[in-house]
Amino acid sequence: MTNFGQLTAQLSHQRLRQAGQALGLWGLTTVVAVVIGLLTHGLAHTDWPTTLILFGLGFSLFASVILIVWFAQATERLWGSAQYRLLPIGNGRLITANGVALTPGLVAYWAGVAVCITVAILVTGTTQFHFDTTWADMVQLIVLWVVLHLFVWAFITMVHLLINTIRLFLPERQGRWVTRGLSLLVVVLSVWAMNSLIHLLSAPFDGLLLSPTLSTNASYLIGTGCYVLLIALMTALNVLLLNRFVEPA
Amino acid sequence: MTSLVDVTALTYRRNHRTILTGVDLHLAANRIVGLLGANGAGKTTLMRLLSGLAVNFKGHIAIAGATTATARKGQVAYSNALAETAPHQPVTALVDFWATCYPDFDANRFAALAGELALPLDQRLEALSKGTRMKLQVALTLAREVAVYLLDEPFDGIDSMTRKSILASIITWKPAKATILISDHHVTDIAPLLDEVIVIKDQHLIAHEATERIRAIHHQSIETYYEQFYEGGHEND
Repeated sequence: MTNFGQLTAQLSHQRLRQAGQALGLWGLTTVVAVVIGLLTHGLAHTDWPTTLILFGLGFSLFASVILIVWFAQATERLWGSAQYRLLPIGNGRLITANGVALTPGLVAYWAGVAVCITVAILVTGTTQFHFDTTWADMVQLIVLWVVLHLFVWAFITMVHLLINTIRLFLPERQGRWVTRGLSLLVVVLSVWAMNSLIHLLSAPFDGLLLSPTLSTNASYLIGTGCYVLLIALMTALNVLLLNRFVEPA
Repeated sequence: MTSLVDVTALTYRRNHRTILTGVDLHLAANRIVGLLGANGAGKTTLMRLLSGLAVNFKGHIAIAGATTATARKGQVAYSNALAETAPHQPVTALVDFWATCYPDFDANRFAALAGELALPLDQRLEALSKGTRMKLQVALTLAREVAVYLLDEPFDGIDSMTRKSILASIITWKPAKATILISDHHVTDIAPLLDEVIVIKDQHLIAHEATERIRAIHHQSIETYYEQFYEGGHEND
């Protein structure tokens, strides 16, 4: 049987390499944008530190979207390609290994961004920096981002696997339009369900300052815990669909 | 005789189409078996079922006693493992993945096979020609030490010299007790290798015969024997 730890390490190595590429892309884009600003848009030389940090923050989101797409492709390949589905390991362990492997990549990316921006702030003296409170906020934000990403991937995988399963029971040619209609319905219903879930789950975060009974940390932990629970439930359904119905290419 | 591959009453349907029905197949250890049939007869589907890739079937499949899909994957090496693989991966990264994730992968055996088949290990997967990619698939498959090897059209679209080198590797590197199931349209090329022949047609396994018997009792070549079943049939793959 394939060793779970070794598989996770192998996948983590791949995801970390992609996170490194995304960080490189982010750094390059930010620096090029600042240089172009200085050369062509009349950006005053005294303003470049602030511009660098603002561009850095903006482009970090842009590069994170690219990273999410890369990770999404990798996740789809995990259950859609024979390379992974032929491994002598249960589908539950395969999906879990992928989930665990995505985490260091995401943490590395956002930690890299946080460190670079902090260094830029300290070096340029752009703004006052309070280490004691800022680091705690950063760690909480990174954990929240990671959990949200894992939630979105588990959700997208679930929708995809459900469509694949439904298609399996429809005639290939005659049912093409039925399949498309059904797929659209599943996507619409899923988006609606996800929207409702996010509203429901963001309640603890919305009430951070308003709730008289919950502390900030307690609200944060409850919200994160709800997402983790939902990720586990969706993963269980995904594994069931993989075991029973969904075959790779 | 105990069977290494045990398939009983296997039926597989997909999209309201029956692809295989009522297949019974029993293969002993240490055999090279030709899986023959027209395009779309269900050869690839049978291999996917044996390897554990296809899951939604009726009937019973056991490979070396392993019945669950996960356990079967540990007993079978299937040559289609590179389908849908990320094309930008370096070959060395793929080999590293195989070595890490398959406990039965023998790195020395792969190195010898790679040398024999002249594989360019420093290239990316997307840079390989069709024939070289096929040779890589065969090398990765044979570098595992398992009970059953499934080679799905390993000579598809490749030149005669490459075909000869792959055939030579199969003969050289087949473990003594292992059984190889090989599908191919060039029956004449693989005929000298085969111990048994299986023919699939119209969703059914219609013939399973030892090649010795075909030659001695039926007085036919493997190709002639196969051609008598060949005409007609529906596509199911």
